[in-house]
Amino acid sequence: MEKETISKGQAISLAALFVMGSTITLGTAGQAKNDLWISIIIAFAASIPFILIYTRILSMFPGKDLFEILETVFGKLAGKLLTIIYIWYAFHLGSLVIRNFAEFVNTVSLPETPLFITVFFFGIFGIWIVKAGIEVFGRTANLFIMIDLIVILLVNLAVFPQINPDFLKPVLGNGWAPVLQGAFSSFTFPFAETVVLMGAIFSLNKKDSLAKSYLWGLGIAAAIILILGVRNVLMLGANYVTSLYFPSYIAVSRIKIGEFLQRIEVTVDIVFLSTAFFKSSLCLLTACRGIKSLFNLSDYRSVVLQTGLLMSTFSCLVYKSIMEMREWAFEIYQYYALPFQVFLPAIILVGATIRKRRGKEPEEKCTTV
Amino acid sequence: MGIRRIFFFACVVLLASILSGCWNYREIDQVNIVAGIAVDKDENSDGYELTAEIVEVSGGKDAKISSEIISVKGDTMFDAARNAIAISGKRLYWSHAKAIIISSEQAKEGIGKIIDWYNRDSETRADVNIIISRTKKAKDILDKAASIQEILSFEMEDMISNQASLSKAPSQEVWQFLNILEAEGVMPLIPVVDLRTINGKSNLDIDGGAVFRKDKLVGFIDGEDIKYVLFAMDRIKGGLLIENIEENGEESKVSLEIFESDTKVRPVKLAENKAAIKLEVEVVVAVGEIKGYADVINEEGRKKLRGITEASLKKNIETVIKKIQKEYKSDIFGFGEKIREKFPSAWEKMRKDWENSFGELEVQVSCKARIENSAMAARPVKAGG
Amino acid sequence: MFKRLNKKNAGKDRAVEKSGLTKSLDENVKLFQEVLKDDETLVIRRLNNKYLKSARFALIYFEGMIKPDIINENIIRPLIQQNLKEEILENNLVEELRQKIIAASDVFETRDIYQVCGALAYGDTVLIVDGFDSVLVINSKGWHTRGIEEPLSEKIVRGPREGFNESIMMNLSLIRRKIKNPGLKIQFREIGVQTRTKVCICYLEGTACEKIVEELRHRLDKIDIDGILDSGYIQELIRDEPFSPFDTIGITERPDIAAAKLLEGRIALLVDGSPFALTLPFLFIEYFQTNEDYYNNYFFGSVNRLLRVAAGLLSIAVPAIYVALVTFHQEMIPTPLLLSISAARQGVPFPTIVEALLMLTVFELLREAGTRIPTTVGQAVSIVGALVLGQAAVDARFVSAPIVIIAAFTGITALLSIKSQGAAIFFRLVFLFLGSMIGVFGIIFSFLGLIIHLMSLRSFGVPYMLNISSLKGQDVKDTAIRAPWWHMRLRPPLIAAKNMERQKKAN
Repeated sequence: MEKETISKGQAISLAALFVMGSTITLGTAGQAKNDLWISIIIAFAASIPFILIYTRILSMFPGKDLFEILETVFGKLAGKLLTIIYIWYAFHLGSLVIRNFAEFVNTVSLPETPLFITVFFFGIFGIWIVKAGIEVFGRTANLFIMIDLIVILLVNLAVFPQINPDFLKPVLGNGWAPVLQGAFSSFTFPFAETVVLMGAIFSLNKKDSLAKSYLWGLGIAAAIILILGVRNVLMLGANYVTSLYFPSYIAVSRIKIGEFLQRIEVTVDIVFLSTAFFKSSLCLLTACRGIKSLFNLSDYRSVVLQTGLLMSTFSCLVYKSIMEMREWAFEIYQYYALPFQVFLPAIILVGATIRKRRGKEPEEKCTTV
Repeated sequence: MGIRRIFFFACVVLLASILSGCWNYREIDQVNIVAGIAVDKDENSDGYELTAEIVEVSGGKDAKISSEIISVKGDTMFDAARNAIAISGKRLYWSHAKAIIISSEQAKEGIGKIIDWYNRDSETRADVNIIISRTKKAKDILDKAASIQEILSFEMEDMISNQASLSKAPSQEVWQFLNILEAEGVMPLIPVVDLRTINGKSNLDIDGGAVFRKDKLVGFIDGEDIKYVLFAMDRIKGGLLIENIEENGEESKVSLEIFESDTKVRPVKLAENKAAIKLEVEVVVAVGEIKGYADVINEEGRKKLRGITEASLKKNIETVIKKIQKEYKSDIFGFGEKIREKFPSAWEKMRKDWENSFGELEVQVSCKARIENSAMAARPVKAGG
Repeated sequence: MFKRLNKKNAGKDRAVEKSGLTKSLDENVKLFQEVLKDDETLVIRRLNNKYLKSARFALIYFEGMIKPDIINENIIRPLIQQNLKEEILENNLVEELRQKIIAASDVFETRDIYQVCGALAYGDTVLIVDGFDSVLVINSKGWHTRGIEEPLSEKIVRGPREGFNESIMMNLSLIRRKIKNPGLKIQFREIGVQTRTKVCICYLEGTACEKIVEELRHRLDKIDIDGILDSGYIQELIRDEPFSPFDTIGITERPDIAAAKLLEGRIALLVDGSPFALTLPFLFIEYFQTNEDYYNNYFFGSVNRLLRVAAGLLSIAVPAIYVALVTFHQEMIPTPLLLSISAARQGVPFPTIVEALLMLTVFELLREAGTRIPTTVGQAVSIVGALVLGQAAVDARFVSAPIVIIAAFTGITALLSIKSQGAAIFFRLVFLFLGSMIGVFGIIFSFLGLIIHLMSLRSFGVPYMLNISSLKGQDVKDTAIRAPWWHMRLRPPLIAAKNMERQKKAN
């Protein structure tokens, strides 16, 4: 199979879309209320070392994805076990993202349409783009990040007449505890979720720019998340924001400039949809690559259809209701995600370093795999 | 991709869509567009009586828009809204509603219960104006008023949004109301609508505000006072100030148009659990009318006029704050919130007893006025040289 | 594919073997009569030299295909009147004739009767000489072609007005006149077992990518078809992504456009009998580029191009957006507009989506009728279209007025980039379909699908959406806008990889 590569710009777009996906829909760091901007900044800062860990692991084995590295470092058995764990994480995360968006659609726009329809579209289009390969992925992402940024920019310019700076005060009125809680929550969702990208974006045109593109992508997304979070609070007030499932959407629906420029919330659907789509599709891509490496298949494309359909089906089953989804996303998920995002990567880094020092022979073995 | 696969894919998509039908597909002419609603207490139960103003559109080349009023009862708001189908035949469509009128009778019992559905439902929009009716039943407003435009509710929305150049009623949208309700140290203030009979016709009149404590109505402020309340809240965008000025024993009235106003609310910490508020009002006005012959344009006159304006503004604001402190004990100005923003730790000690301490709160008002222009004429009219 | 190719060659060989020429004039003439029998335009003219009686000739040509002057003055007269000496006979007479006697621009000797028949059909004259088993093919083409006119399909206000016509040689001359560099390569081949159409590959050596040229040759070689009547056949036979509604090979009727594409490193493919040259690789953005963009002021050109891009998008999305807003997201519509749409919809029997489909179909019908019917009855169609279907249908409450506006708007915008119409119709339906299913989300999904599809297309190995999502300076300069010429220093990447510089960095 020909090695597919993407450019640095495309990797940045993908990473940014991935991090923005479903976070901008649900909002993040709600625990911190009006101090959420501090939480987001802390979470972003905290995620930088982990991003460096992820990219360090990747750059130790250029041209290989997470799963190939796992097998190289930990051997057949343990490697496959870890592979299964990460396949599960990517698969699960993908279906959570799909479900988030489907719930969004169902709640705000199409209450009578079955959840399954949105999920189905996500599945079909996700399968399509994953089959088309990472190059198409990168190019499409490049276009969509521009569309999204333009939409966000225009919408947020229209927000200015309606913001109330007092909503941000008092700074740290409730102390550090909720802020740190919020930071923890937004560290795990979305920043450190980039661990999934290790299975999707791993070979660039130039090797050395991997960490840079991850960080750039993360930085762009963090800035957007920060701006949107602060915007929500400035427009709606922290109290009201915390009572909403989808604060960004409601904030935009409050925009009113003159008689005609109002009720424009549907325009941000394109941002919500595209980011969630790229996130879930990247998860699907990672899961498929994992399965390929697990069963030593020649091409991951042969399992995309099955995995994609399973993923969408699973996302229909994963929660019973939107209430459950919210509880999970903001209260439980952070602990659930920790091993995948923090502990295992640390172990992999240590293992990889040891394996690298010991000599070259395991690497040769791997090239035959 | 082979042609067989494309065919298969097309089949799947077609089948899925045909089987699915169109769940949320809703033709515009198959719904009744609600322009506004009035909520009253149902006398016979603890439910509500919902009166909706529905836009009637008659199609054709010369389309005509008129309104129709329907009344339904229900245990909850949602119940009442759905019961409306039995009367109107079509589902009500809420997204374009412009006003919720709540009777003062109901408001006294609390309006949080009513608002919840409006905020929660995805078909309604929470950026609709809440209005309290001074008439006994809110229904009367929709029923009896003669409208100038075709739709009363739209008219009311215009009235409220044009208050910017009148400043005799506050505006309050549902989500803002909820925000205030949930916040600490601030109470809602909602505009009031009444019927006024002119030439035998009852007309809408939006004037004054309803003061709430939590979500319960406690009293009204009339339109002239609202202006000064808005000054204290830094929500003045326009309006007039009428000042009396004496020159050579002759009394003249000067109408000043407010161009700009900026109020700084500065909390001052007096003790660990005591604070005071300093209000600094800065207003830019223009001489819009001189009823009389007083020369307020020359330097001396301007100085005098400024002094008078500042003094009367200060007096009026102080009076209205006192009145609200004494009569309603409801912090509609949000002074508590300002204190919380500035002195969070002191606030922790004051929050419990804020209702009482608000009544005792010391508010210092200082005003500064600047006369920017005198419209088109450079001097007052002089009678017969 | 290779198998088929071999078979074809085999067939050709057999024809030659079977009808081998002999040294006898009579037999050869008989042979031609045999091969071309039942064709009554075949003329066989026998003649002798005035001085050398043993020099006997026969001329064969098709009536109507030749220019009689050439045959009379340049072939027959010298053959009869020249004093052919005995010794000529001892030398190779055919060679002597070719070199010294026949005054025609293009004369060649051949033994291949298959080739000879092809040349005959193309208006050449065949000279058979007694005693030789090879014949001379003399260029005497005299068939008539259309003159050089302004193309109908690509109207412009400013710029050269000449257009290609049906003669490949004329077309080549038009291109050659614009690019005088000897690097302009022109290579012929014949495609079509029956029609044996001449196809010509033109490219600028050193600028065009060799790989693409090679790939094109390879694909042309694989074609096995009985006839090529227009370049459209070839366009479809050699294209990438055969199931995509988008073209991956461009067409043009204007030599200036073809020359511009050549200068960018693209390859032009001319097909005899078709005034439409193919250009490849073809990128998506070329749908929106016109030659006039480059001739006009860059500012004006950019505005026009942006309009075209916007119109292209709108023509796909507008009906779907209307249907989605009116049937799903009424809260998006400002109240006064909602009320007037509602008023217009009162009493209309069809659901909005049906209305939309109906009016779009009506528009396409009118468009098709407008292009097919003779111009003399065109008036009638426009009256029927405008008055009866528009005005009367609304008055009769058959359809609502907004949908007529939407259909008209869609139609106009679609006509702006007329070459992408097929794709536009297809995607318009997809958008409409999904949009009426899940509202604006359906539209966004269709847009996503459109983009994924476009992004995964390639034209001769070049990504179809090259430069579209790039923000690099040189890349955007000729996409949605047209930068001033002094800024467009580089040629498009990948297409002209070998020779990127269009201008030296002098300014």
